[in-house]
Amino acid sequence: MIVVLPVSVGNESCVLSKKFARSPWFAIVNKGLNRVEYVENPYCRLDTDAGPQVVEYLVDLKKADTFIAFELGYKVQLMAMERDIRIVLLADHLVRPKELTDRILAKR
Amino acid sequence: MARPRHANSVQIPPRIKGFTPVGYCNGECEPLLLYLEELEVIRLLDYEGLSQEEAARLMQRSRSSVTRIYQRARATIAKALVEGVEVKIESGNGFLNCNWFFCSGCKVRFNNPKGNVTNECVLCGSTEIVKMEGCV
Ligand SMILES: [Zn+2]
Repeated sequence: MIVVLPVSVGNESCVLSKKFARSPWFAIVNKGLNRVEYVENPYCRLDTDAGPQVVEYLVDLKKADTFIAFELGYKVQLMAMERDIRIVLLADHLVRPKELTDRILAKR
Repeated sequence: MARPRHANSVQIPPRIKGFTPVGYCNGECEPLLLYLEELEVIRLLDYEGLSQEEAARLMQRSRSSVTRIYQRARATIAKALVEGVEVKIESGNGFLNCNWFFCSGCKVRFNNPKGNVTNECVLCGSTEIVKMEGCV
């Protein structure tokens, strides 16, 4: 299970980014390796169509199978669904990403 | 349950059940109903900035149907705002285009893209999950 969260900076002090494809960083939780990696979003400053590029980057390159977000743009949603990516939509955007990454790693 | 004849594909279930006016609430009026497909049109056109053609393609309906749904949605929202009437979101002719679940434990909504049996929340592991037919 490889889970992606959009976050503000590349470390544990980050907050959740409200916009997935425009998020400056992503936290990638690899449950198999029991590890959290922070990667900068190479497409966050694209003028248009950041969503499809971000999905390809996260799914093809980073092998993500789950996206966690407060809200997803329709292009990201469509591409994620086409690729059988699980989408988890949070009720609250103020939840700390660290709390979520810890919860994912602790879950059996 | 059989899908209604004029069903409209909706991508994700809304996070809310409705809206209540602040400061004054017109209690003489029954709450106004905003249907799932009306909220979806507002989301696609006004929130996402799509054209009506693009929205029609996503919702698997004709452009003229989308125009009619949009007009109804705007009229409902206008009445609610101007007259201070509560709005309730109901399923109507909207259907979710894949299986969605709601976790009563951590309140997340999650889909089940591969259609396998889901009996626990993917985030908190709670078994208190319900399949969503429309609203939370
Ligand atoms: Zn949960």
